[in-house]
Amino acid sequence: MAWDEQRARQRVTNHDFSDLEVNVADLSREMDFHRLGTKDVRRVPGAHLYADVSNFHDAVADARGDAQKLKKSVRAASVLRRAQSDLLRVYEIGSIQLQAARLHCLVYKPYNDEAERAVRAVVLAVSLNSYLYDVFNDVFSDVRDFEGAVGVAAGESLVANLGFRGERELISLGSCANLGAKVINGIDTITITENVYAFLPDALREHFEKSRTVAGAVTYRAIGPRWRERPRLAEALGVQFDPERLKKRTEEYRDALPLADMELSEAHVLIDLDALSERTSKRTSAVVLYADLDGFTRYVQAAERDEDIVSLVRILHMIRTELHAVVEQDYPGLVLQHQGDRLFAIVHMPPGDRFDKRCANGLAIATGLQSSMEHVLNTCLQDRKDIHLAVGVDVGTVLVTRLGKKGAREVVCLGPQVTSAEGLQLRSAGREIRISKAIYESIDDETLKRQFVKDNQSAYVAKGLTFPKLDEIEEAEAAQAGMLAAEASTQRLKIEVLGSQRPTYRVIPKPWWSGCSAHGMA
Amino acid sequence: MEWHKAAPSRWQSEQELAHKLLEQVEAGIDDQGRAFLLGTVRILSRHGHEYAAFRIRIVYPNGFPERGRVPAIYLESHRNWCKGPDTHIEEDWKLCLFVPGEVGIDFSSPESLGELIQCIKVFLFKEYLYQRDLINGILTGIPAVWPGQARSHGIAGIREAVHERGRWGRNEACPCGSGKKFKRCCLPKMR
Repeated sequence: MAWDEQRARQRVTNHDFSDLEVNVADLSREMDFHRLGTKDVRRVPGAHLYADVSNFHDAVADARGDAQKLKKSVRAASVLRRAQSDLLRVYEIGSIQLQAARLHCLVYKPYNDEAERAVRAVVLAVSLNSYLYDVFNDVFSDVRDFEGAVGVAAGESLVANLGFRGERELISLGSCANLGAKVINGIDTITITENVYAFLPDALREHFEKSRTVAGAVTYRAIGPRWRERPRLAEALGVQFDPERLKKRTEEYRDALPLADMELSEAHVLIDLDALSERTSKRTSAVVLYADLDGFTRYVQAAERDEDIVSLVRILHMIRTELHAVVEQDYPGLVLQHQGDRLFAIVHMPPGDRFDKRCANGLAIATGLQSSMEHVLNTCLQDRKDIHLAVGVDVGTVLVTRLGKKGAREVVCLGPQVTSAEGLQLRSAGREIRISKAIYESIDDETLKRQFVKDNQSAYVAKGLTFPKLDEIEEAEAAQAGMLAAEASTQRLKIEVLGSQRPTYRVIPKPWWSGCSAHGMA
Repeated sequence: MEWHKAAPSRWQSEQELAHKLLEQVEAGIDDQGRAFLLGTVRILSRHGHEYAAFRIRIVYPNGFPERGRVPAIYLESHRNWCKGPDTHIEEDWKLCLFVPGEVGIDFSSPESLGELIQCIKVFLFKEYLYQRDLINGILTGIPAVWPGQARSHGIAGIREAVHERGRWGRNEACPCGSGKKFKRCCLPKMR
């Protein structure tokens, strides 16, 4: 199977979301976004917090294939997830998603107190970093010295429950929802936007210094404030941070998951995500792919009326469903997560030593996603045609598992190329596919390879690459070389392979021009 | 006798095949008594992208398919296309599809319509590319060139086809598709 425009069109027509019921409302005291129905969308004012442990991915590389070490990494990820959830519960903060090694949560309580939410977010940020550096690293010193960083951005966003595979999957939309991740600035730091900084008491504020501007937002950064070093600040803010108690609980969590009870195996067939848990993980060589909807957030920001939001949610459903189908129906890919308006997928088929074929599948998916966006979905966007996809692709060894409680488990994929693929996507504009050097060097199709140019960071980027564009280039070349044929029944053009004997295709005859009808051909 | 009356079963099978291979098919007899098929042919890339949909008229000459006579194909849509130096379309929008004598289609076969339509598709795709380059040429100044090999205009093209085959019997059907013997049609002109 491969991407096909006619099939993609049929899919989009069949999945008609134009009358999808969507209920938009402001989040109120009696609502909890953790109980959102699949038709509910809530406007939620709050502070989005991203806690990143970026070098968690390096633990996979450090293990160098050693199963015991990899199991320890999975166990560490599981324990960190539990401990972070405990901290979130203390502050009544809602978790949105665990994105690989990055936790995304939303501080939405108290409902009508922006200042208190800002303080709560920063207190949680300090607590998360304090826990990681002063507790977690002690317990898991045999895995790695983990490094954390937190970003916080406040504003109003939309929260919806657009789960798939039977799991609840919260997503948040809006510029502040992504900004928290974008502002993160260096290890052992907390970076906040100006509208968070403005509400902080002086005791907290004095730890922050004005820093860079990100996506038009001024940021403030604190390096390494931790409760252990700031007991008076903790006391002033009413924070009870007990490292010894936390360490004991962390050890309990660790010991509840003995390595002997954990299974880690190579993925020889397409990974069944439903079968994964912290006790059952997969290791595989895979192409890692991020595809972000460039321009969508702008429309979310501009949507003031309920009907605008309803329309956007329907569009998002339509786009997500089609992109999902490209990855999993047209190719043997695996969608791991929808992160807001971004898709995160891997391609690990075919397994084993067929590295080039895996890369070709990954690149075909990237091209298929752009093709569906530009040639199929874009025709259904009415006046929102400036929504495009930015895609980043890399390849490497990854560890795939699922963490959390049954019914709310989140797929986690760890590996250095998860970070680099995300970096490639973040550097890309709409309609671009940015690939790593390893992917580029695996391409054996010269026409495809010519579409990529080297950027200034040793990656390769193609602008406007779609299958129809590639087809036109290759079919024009074949026409020039006399190698073009057509199939009568399917209406498709076909490039003949030299020496092949295909009775259904005829080599093209040569056109001529008589100049007049004197030869009486009619 | 008109062809469609002389070979009613073949005319029937041509219509049936046309309904399978073309869209919006109409069949009829024109005011000169020639059978014709009108239909839409879509040209899709290998990944299903539609380049264009063309309306074509296939006109069967009397005497078809004897003595090298082949149907003439007329373009009914896209009549805003430019006439460039390499446009292989005549003034009356008849496509200069191929040199009939060298195409290699056995028109006596009831399946030949399918093969003809394959040729039409490739021809129209080339014309599509050529027209694109004609338009681009206005902006870039780069002259459009017909994609791939093409016979020269007029009798020179027949000469090329004959020379490429190496030998053409004087009593064979003329390669131009006139239905006459070669010695009574293009051979004297070539001399």
